[in-house]
Amino acid sequence: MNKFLLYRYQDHVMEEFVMDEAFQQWVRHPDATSNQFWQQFLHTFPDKRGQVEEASEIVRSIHYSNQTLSKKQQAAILQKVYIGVDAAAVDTAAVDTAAVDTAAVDTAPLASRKTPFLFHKRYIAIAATISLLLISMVGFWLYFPAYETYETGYQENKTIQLADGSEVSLNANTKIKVSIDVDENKAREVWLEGEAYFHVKRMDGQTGEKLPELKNFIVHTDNFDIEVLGTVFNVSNRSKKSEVLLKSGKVKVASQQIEQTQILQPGDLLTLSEIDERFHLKKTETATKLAWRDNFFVFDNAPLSQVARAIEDYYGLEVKIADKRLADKIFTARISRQELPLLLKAIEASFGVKVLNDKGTINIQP
Amino acid sequence: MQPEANHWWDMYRKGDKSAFEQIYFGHVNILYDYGLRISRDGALVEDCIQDLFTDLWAKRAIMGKVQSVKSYLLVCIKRRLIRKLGEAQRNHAHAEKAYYEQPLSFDPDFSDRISEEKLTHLSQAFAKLSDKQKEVIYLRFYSQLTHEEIAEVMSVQVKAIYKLMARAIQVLRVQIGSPTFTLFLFAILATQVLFCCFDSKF
Repeated sequence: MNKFLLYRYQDHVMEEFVMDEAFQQWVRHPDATSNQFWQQFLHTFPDKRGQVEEASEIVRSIHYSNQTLSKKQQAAILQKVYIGVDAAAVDTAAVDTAAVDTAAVDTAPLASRKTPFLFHKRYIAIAATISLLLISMVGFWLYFPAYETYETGYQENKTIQLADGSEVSLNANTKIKVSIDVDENKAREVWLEGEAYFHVKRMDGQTGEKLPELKNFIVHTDNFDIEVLGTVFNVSNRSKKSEVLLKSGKVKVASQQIEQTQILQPGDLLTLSEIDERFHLKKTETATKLAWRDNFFVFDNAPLSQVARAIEDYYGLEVKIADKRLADKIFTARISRQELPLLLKAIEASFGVKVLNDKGTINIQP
Repeated sequence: MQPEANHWWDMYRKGDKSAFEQIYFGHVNILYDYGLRISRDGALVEDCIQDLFTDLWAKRAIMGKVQSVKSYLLVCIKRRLIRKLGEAQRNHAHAEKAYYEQPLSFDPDFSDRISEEKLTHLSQAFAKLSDKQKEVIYLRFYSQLTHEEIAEVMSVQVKAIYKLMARAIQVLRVQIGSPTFTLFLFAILATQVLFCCFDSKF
């Protein structure tokens, strides 16, 4: 190892270690070479051990979740760049030979220029072996289920506790599938259909003791996955629309569908539906969104169509609104969810309409 | 990365399109993440990136040399974003827009491998840092900029960066005790000693 380099660090103090690129590299991604180097350094300058340890701890604790654009989005922006340049060139009628050249060149993204995969006999043999293995694994997996399922019916709320101490409150008509711990190091995963409120805790289910290490907790919805970093939040995943509201802590939402990630802060409401091309993010009043936990409907300037949706989701009834203009009317109320007749009366009184309850179908007519 | 980027920059100035694309693909995600920490409006950040590169490509013939491509691009994106945010604020003052104009958010997401107790300590320590200090740490640890580059992005003297950084680390230092980590480090070193003994036999 380079003796000269060793001596370069002999007068370093803790702050300088933290700021040193090679030092950061070692702490974050140690390998045989860097381990050997720093071990030798500590051997040569044993009095530096305290500062090195302190600096390591600081470097190790600073971490940023990156928010990235997908390859597709990157290519799309680049296309628009070239279109923008061409348009500007036409506008000013500038005679720029290079610009004329570019217009002729294709603007396909670099990523698409790859050699095709070889369909060689040997690959087919390997593929066959792998599929056989996969099939037997799936069989094994089905035989020993790795999930627990919890469900609520219409007009039913339930709170459950998971093995790690986390609490999940299920709204009516909701189903969650939770992975059972097979491996200590694996993330706890939850698949959600409906709506639930999560309070993620880190403790041992049996002893009730706090676990020293945080473990990943992931909630899957139709449109995105939520990676949790110790937190309280509400997730709804109904009728092809997924929504997450963060009450406290921090979560990272990732969507494979639009290949985008976003970090949420408390008060953030993020939605993504099947047809969306990007996340919709806004600050929201948490009380309205979380009223279901106290078994209340809270409508704050909500269109009647949304009220209908809420009745359908909670009671399992069908709600028909006679015409579009009526569906867009704005309704504000706070009513217990056990008082359906009262809610229907309130709708009648507010808009001067007739609400008829006919064997599981509610008709709202002018 | 850096000398390579400067090479691409020179090629790009001569009108080399593939060099331009190397610069674009090599920096777009760093710019996007940085932008999102200034404005959380993803579409606005994308627009700024697009405008920036449109300008760069259109003006390739008159562009000069740069010290560092990365810090040059970061400065550009920051200026554009701040300008656009200012325009938005003047034009329409409704609530949703205002939300995107929160102060710079360069808080790290602490590694999920550390204990919850330490996490609380660290969040508290970071809360004590100024926005400038947070940005310096972000640029150093996430964007991997040198001190000279950070000084350029923040338009201050390099000396000031050293000062900001050292003071930030001192704040963090008070909050962090490390008994568990000592064990961890000891374990790593012990295994390495074993490996070395093993190696020297051959």
